[in-house]
Amino acid sequence: MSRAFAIGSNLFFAREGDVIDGVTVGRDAKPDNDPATNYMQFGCVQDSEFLNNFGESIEIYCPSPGHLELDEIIELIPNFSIVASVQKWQEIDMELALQADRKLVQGEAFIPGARSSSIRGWLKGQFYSHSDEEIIAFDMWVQLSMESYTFSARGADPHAITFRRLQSDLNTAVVTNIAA
Amino acid sequence: MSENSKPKEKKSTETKKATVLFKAQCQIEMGSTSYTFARGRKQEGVEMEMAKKLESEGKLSIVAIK
Repeated sequence: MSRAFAIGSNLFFAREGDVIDGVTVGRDAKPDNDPATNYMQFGCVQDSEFLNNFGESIEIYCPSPGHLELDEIIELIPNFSIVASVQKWQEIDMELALQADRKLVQGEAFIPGARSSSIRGWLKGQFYSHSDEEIIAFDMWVQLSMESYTFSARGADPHAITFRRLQSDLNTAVVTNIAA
Repeated sequence: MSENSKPKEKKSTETKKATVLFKAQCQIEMGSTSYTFARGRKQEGVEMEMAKKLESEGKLSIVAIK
């Protein structure tokens, strides 16, 4: 059984180093989303693109019985990213766009283009169908980056944030409601 | 000194907390938030009662008590 659906993406983030209920968020410490304020939500995601990249691979050819046929592909560097087009701005979006040297706080000075450490944290994804059923839910330890963006007088486009998956033993995902 | 005049031992009202080392992935309430901790994580401030229960299940070891 299969079904078609349109997807609404909800992306939430808990930043590495933030202290929630006395615990420092990290690769090996993941908070839940109760209360909801444990995670900030990215503002109104339009699309989420899932990018699979297998990097380098080794192809194994075997004789059959005399000519060679591809028998196996060893994928050496599998990695997974999500690129989300975000329509609304918050401090963290500006921090990424301006490569701020510190956690950006409205009204406080920072040095643009001087970011020396990456923004990492827990990305909590909740993807719902057009009929509001949960389709994909995941928790993923990620590193954030933003592609180039043009601030335009002719109207604002969504900005693209890339969430690159990093290793954590706490990474997890579940898919539901895809069978009609 | 009569039995009645002996100073009574004061009971501590403070809840003891443990520093633990997780031996397996583990979910624990910390304040109002439930945390999932990975194997190998060292964590302070775990409620003693909970720490002892999880230690008996082999999920963590208590390394210090405050």
